[in-house]
Amino acid sequence: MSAAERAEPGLVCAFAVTRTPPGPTALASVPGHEEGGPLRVLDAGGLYVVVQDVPETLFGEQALAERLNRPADLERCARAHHRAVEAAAGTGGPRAGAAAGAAVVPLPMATLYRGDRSALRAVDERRPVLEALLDRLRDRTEWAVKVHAAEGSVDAAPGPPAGPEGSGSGGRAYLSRASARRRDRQEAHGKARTEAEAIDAELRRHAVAATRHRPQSERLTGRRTPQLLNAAYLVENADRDAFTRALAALTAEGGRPSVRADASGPWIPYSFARWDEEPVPETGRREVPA
Amino acid sequence: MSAPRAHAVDLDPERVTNDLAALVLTVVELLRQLMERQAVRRFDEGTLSEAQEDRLGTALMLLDERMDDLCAQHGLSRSDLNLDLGPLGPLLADPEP
Repeated sequence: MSAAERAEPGLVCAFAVTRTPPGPTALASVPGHEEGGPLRVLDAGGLYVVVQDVPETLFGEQALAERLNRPADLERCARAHHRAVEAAAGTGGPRAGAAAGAAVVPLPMATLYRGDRSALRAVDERRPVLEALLDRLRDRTEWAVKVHAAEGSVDAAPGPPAGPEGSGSGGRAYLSRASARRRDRQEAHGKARTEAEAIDAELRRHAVAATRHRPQSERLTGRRTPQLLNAAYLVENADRDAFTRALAALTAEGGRPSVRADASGPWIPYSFARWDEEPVPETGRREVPA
Repeated sequence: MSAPRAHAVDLDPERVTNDLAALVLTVVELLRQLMERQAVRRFDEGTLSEAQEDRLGTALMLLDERMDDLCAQHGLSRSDLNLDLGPLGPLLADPEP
């Protein structure tokens, strides 16, 4: 153990790994976490890590856990993380767009090390994985697509059709209405699910890889209808036009009445850069939804 | 239910009462939906006599109306009576409109 480590070095927050470090002037203009020092680059020999010194009082285990439980602090933290990752990719400038940047492996938010040396060691230990990820993410961007059941298609299924025994106010009529309502809802839900699957299948044709995240709760999405698909696609820059054309066709109003699809991108490929996990397989193989 | 309040233990009596009412009503609504689902299944299968169907349907209808009253008393709507069970999705899979 070296003297530096025995002296309890401060906390270092790591943001991203890249092969082409951003210039110091570009980095200096980007604030990372507001409470920390300026962004700087560590040289891990061929790989570079963008890091920032952060105060122990705010980023210690307990303090951080508490802060991340508060939605406002969590959002600030996530934005700071994204800013720094963009800076590492050299895309932090005014609307440079994620595509123009160098390949980066974004690290999970709040990846903390005690001192530069442990950060460098962590990179060194994962060198093969990081090299493979950088190869894989080069000239590719991520697109996020969320599909919801259309308002009024599932939950607000049209009122019960007053069939021969559907009208009236007796107990049997009530059961009959409840039965019809359940059937309508199941049909609507099945249709919406089928359309969501079709959207996913179509987009996968234009993507190198795709992955599914757990659908977000309605509280998170602020919608009244369930989220059916929460997917991310890794798209080759050369195929981007084809992908966005397919997206535009799919998200256009009218084509698929049972669902609403929303897309965003291009993003730095966060969903495909898990350095501690098995790499996401290329398309062609269906993945189990998370 | 109201928005989660992390960490702070809120002992405002009014609020505690309302949260408790919402929780109790959530459980009641869950049971009501389960009963209704079962009744509808039996109804669709046609294994009930007409008299049974009528009694069961009437009971469920009254329970449904009673739920509306109780929700109104506590200033809640049916869609408030749900719990997000994370990976399992919402507790009440299909809230009544």
